[in-house]
Amino acid sequence: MKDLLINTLLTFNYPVILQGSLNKDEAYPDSFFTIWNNDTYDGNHYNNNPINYIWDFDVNFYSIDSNLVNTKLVEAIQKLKKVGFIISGKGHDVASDEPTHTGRGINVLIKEKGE
Amino acid sequence: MARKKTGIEFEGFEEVLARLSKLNGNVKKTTEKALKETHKYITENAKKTIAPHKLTGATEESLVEKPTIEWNGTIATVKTGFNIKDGGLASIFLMYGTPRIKKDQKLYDAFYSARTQKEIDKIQEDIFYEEIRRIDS
Repeated sequence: MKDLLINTLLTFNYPVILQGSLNKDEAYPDSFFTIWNNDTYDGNHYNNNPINYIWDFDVNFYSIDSNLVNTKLVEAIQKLKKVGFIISGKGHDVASDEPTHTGRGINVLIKEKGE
Repeated sequence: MARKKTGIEFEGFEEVLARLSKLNGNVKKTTEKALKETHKYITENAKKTIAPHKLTGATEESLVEKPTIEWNGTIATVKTGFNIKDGGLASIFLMYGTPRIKKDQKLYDAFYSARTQKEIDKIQEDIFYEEIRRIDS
């Protein structure tokens, strides 16, 4: 599911990195996505066993272009929904370490079938 | 955030509500009690997880401790979280991280995790059933 998320975001041709993984001295790319897996928990059960799992991700988009921050995240929502991700709302502001960049984020869920 | 809006969402709520109404129970009062307890549960957990971040104490102090129930027609909600205007800006860094700083998963979970949602559902369900039993006995 993580691969599906990363590969879908990579179609926008911006880097996709793990939130919190950029080094202190490493420069921000001009525009980029970050992701973070909050949890992967049991969904429905049958005979006391999970029959599916819910993957819970944060997806954030940062850019030096504040207009792009809004439009690109909305485009990402549409694309992610098309491949099966569940997203409610249009996102929230997220903090940037760099004054040159602003960011917005969404919470993204997807169900994975159990074995 | 850093504010989260929570309503009454436990499974079977519609049936429980119909049962309470049929018994002439006070739906509004029970709903507000359930939301106040929801607020208390989330806020107490958030308080515990924000404590290690105490540098100036501003973020902790911006945690909204007094529940305000908002009614929109027949839907009631309560807001939990940090008040940005009252010094809660750092909560955004903590809740979601930054490209260079990992998020505080425990703080985020105090509001949003599946476990928190499960606990909230149970708190709300118990309050409604308690009221039904009280009237019905």
